Amino acid sequence: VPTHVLLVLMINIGLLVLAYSWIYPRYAGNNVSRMMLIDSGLTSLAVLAAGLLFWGRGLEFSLIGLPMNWFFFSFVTYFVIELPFFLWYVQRHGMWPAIQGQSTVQVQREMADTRWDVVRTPARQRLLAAVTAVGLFATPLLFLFTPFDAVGLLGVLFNGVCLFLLQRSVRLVADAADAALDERQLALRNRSHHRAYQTLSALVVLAGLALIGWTVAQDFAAEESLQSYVMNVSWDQISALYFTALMVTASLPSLMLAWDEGNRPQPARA
Amino acid sequence: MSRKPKDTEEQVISRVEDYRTAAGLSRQQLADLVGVHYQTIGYIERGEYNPSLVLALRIARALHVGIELLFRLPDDPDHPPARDQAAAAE
Repeated sequence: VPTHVLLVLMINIGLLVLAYSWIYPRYAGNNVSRMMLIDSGLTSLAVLAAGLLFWGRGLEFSLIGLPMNWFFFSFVTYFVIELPFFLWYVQRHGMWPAIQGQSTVQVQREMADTRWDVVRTPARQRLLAAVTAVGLFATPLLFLFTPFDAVGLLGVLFNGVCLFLLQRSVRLVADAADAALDERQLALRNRSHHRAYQTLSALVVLAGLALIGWTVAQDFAAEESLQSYVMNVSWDQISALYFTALMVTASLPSLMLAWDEGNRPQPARA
Repeated sequence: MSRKPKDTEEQVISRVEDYRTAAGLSRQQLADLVGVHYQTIGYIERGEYNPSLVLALRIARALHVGIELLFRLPDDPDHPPARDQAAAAE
């Protein structure tokens, strides 16, 4: 193993041992947000250290046969080495409920919060769900058919705003941990996830079929041969795929719940 | 008896609202007593959600009535309120 590769690995392991034996227990405890914040800082520190050592030296790194520069090697190896440390820490500090869903405190605060009642009427819940669905289909088109990625990112921003409003509309129920919900809400959450999974499965199958058809058509047009298929993917297409997958998976459970809840008035508190 | 699909499951006739208002409690107060969200109480009162046996028993205990007075199947005869039964017995 080349010395420069070993050096990056040693820096990463040293930082992670320090983080998980002292920094996180002392400064993060079982607070997920604080842990993520510190983790961003430590990851940056690891990459910065690699940069100070190898910037401009032209050294090549390799990960499972894939050549890459010091930046990606440092970043990816830090992430991979951290994973077992992270899982061990989360298990030890009982942080799974907070990681798997919105925490009990967040959900309880949302349950009592009346500021978002404006998006909780049946008609507005359905409208919000419909607008979100349209936005999710429009965002990849913005990446594909506009000249700048920034336009596509505006679509992602719109999806993010829709997701925020949807979550308030259903009081975070679709994304909450078990402990934060009563039995009816738990049933609603589970049903919305089931329907979201069914919808996502259909979308993935349709997208896969569309990709196959498109690849065959492109290759046939270029080569007039059906013997081999080559698919060239542009940065815009990768961006469209990534952000669509990200926003669809994040939004679907709340979207399904908001749509279902939109068919009946909600009981009053009194 | 075969299991009925969930979407055709029988609705339960609920008298929770009658007993709750008679006890002078709001939905929020009853919800706090039995450990659920106030909307869940509302859906139970409207017959749009059938509570688990545990929750039904908790509601009955909070309202100081028998569970059979709070819930019945649509084809079961309606029970008179407990106080009327007691008066009739006297």
